[in-house]
Amino acid sequence: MSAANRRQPPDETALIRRARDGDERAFTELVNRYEGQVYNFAFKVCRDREKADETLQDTFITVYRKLKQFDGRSAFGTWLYRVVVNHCKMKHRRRKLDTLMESLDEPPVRHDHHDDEREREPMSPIEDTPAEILLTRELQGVLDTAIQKLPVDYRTVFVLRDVEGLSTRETAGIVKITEEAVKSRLRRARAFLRQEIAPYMGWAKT
Amino acid sequence: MGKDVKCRTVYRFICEHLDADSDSPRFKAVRAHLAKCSMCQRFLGSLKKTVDLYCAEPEVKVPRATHARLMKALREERNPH
Repeated sequence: MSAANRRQPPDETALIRRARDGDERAFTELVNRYEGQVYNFAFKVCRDREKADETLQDTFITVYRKLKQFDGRSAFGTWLYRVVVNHCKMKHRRRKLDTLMESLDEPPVRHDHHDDEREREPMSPIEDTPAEILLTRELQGVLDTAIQKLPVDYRTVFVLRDVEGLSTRETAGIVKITEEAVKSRLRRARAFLRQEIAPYMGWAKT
Repeated sequence: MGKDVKCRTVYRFICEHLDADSDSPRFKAVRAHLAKCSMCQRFLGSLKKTVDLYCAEPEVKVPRATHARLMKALREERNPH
């Protein structure tokens, strides 16, 4: 659900109303509009086709059952994010994959770089990010492995904020945490992922 | 944030604010540190690149079989036996 799609189209209010009133065609239209975005989000969080598949189904079944509870105060896309985020978390916890701590310690910064003359690791230059980045299969594997090590609560915030482009406030509303908690999780997620891919990219670890 | 900003402080700040920009004293102090600390500059660059890489991941199309399973599950939800 990219930032561009988050603003509810004008015709959607009527569509949602009809779906809520039991119009099956209207509900199917909603599914068709949003299934790609739900599937992509689920996949980006769990990195597994089977889990994304299941999360997609669980999400729309929940939407079907609870659509009457959607009061229209938030955009439908925002409400939908809440549903899919909850299912991603439930699926993750059910499979007991969170062997890492639920919270991440701040990766240590040993000391100021100016303080230690011995710290002169050679580093490859950080290239400017080109407008189009082509991800090799190997690099994709590295990115998958790194994000899968991140606890799911941090993963969802990272994907919502940095990948999907939602604001801190929107993310906080979806995940039901404070804006400070969003910033804290995002900070740690970014640093963690950077740390994980550093060896592959030839960057010095902090 | 004081005059002499340490790398450790900048590290935390960069991880949180990344692309943000402002004229606040805090941002100014961080920018001043970055102007003279190549290590922190590199760190900022690598952090931005990390995020860019995840943003560059291609969209995944919903497989036909997945769509078919979804629609079947919804039909069953509407008309349970």
